[in-house]
Amino acid sequence: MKPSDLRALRMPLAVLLTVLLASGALIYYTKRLADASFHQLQQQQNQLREARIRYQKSGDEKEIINRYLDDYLRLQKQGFIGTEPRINWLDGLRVANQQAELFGVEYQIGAQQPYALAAEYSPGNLALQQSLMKLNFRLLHEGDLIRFFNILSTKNVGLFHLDQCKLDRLGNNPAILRFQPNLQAECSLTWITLTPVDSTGSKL
Amino acid sequence: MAHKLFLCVSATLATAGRWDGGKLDAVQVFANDENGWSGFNGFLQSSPGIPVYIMVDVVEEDYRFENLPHSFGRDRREMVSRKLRQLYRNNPYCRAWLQGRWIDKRRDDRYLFAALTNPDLIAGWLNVIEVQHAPLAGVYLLPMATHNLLKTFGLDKFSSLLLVTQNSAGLRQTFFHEQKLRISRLTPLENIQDESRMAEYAEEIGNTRLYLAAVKIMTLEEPLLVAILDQSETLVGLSRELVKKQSNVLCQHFGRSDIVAKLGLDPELLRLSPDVVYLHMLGAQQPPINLAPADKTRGFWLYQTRRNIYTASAAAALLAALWCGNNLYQQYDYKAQALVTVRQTEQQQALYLEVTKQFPAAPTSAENLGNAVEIAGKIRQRGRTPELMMSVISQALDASPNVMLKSMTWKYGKEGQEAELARQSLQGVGVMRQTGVVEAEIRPFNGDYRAAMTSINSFAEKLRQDTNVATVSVVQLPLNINPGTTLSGNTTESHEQSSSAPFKVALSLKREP
Repeated sequence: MKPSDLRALRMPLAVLLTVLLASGALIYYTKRLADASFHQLQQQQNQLREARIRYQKSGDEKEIINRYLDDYLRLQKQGFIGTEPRINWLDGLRVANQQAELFGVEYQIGAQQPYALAAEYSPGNLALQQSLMKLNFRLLHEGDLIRFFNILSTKNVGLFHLDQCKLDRLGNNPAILRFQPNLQAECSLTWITLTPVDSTGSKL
Repeated sequence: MAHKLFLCVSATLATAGRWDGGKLDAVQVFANDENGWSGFNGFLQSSPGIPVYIMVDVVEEDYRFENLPHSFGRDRREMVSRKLRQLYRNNPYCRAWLQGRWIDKRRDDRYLFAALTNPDLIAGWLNVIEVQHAPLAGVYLLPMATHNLLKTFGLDKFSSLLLVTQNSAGLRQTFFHEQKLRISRLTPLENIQDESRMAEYAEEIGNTRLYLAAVKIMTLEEPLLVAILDQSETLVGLSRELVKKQSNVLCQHFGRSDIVAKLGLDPELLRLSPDVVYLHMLGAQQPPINLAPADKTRGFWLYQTRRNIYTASAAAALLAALWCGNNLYQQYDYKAQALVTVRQTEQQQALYLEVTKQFPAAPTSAENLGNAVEIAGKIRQRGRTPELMMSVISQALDASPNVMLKSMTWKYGKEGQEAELARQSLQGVGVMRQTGVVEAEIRPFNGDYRAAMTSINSFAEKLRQDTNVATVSVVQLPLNINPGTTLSGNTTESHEQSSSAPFKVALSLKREP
């Protein structure tokens, strides 16, 4: 093919190229539109399926509400559900210290963060949060440690679990004072709270 | 818009016509001189850019029937090309037409070599075409276009047929054997008197028969059908004359009305020129061989290529339109289905809302209620205190009076890598376990490390015997007996020198059900 032939075919080739490019672009665009509509339809069908199941299971739902509502409200009152009741915790520590006849409790509460073991509980639309707390206190004897935590757990302070405790014997002379601390306890515990979230992820 | 322009050139005249929508129209007759070329120039200007097909009806033509060894591809092309050079030297207006194979043993290929022996006859017309930049589609010999007449006039059943027509150039005799063109002759009309015309025509046909016999194409005894296509109604008496003078001759005469009926021609056009029949045949079907050399038809090649590219563009656009249409239809369909689904969902939700009016008021969904309460139960169940660890250590200490406890560390959780993974990915990995480290010393200690180690091992063994204990290991001894480290001391027995022998024991409890 000569250069003059190519020049003569320049216009038809340009038209062909334009048609091919425009066709490709239009096909791509309309396919995207169709795909988007299909995706929307699928989402809508899923919502319909969920709505049907929800309606079909509404009887079960009523039963669940009847069964769990009281316990839920109780947990809410105790501080497990909802915002972190830090004042309740401090009150609880103060009262437990008094009732266990300890020598004062030093505390340090960390910032709230997602609960590390949340996935093990399959929380669904519930957000599990944790706050790590370190406690430092002295004991007369080791039995006071358990007694202190038992009292603390009855003080409407929600749910916590102990992660670590270290007991050190203090070098006191028992002959000098009868009621003096013999053990130094250093414990860390995880305070857990739970918050329902809606489908967008914001807390209710 | 016209699609093709036809030009039938004879020695004295040229007939041009336009092929439009399967019909011939705008027929004009020009003289074969400068005036005619000028007229043709105007004709081309009225239909610019349309390909031109030239048909030549002149005496300066040649037909040779040759057999060549059967071959394919490049060999065939080279052999035919050699033969054309041998027959027509440098004349570019020549071609070979493969007409089949002989049935003898060698089964040679049968070729009809045809040429326009005087290309100057069409030079003037070609100049006009070139000046007007009209694409030249081809140059054809007129007998090539008559091939298709056989079927149209029902003449394809005869093995030997002589087609006789009176054109503007003269009397044209074209001989077909087994429906294949073998030879064609043109006899000019100039010197023929009207009174003796039929007799002279009959004599010309007789000469043709003699020639056919001489070149052994057919004998004089073989019957010959002479088909007379009489466009101008001037050959009416020829059949009678032929039958009278020639033996073994059958005659079939087709007058103007027959031709008009068979070809669907406009009778007015036929009155303009008898060559209109051939222009029509050229439009109906392209002749098998084109004599024009490639350099003359380059413009037509470009024209066709341009058209093909535009056709491909149109096809691509159409395909894309169909594809896009299908996509848009799908989108419409999906949207329609989604609308129906939305309505159904709303109905279900309305039904659900109606039912939920009878539910007790709850701060969150039933699912959340159940989950929250169950999670709380699991967390409670999972909680541990150091009580069991303390009890285990206490029992071992009671049985080991020379072991003094200094401190105890208790941990509950995942250990090592599992704990790190759980922290990073917030995934449940591994199991929770209670572990502890006991720091103690042997008292009293008088420097007898063997006795101290025996006591430590005994203490560890007591821990190990507890049914709640999974593992026990002494992680630190009073004396580092590792051969890889330096060891120094004093063996003097003195109570002040070393009053204690500290050690550490690590233990883990069994996993509770």
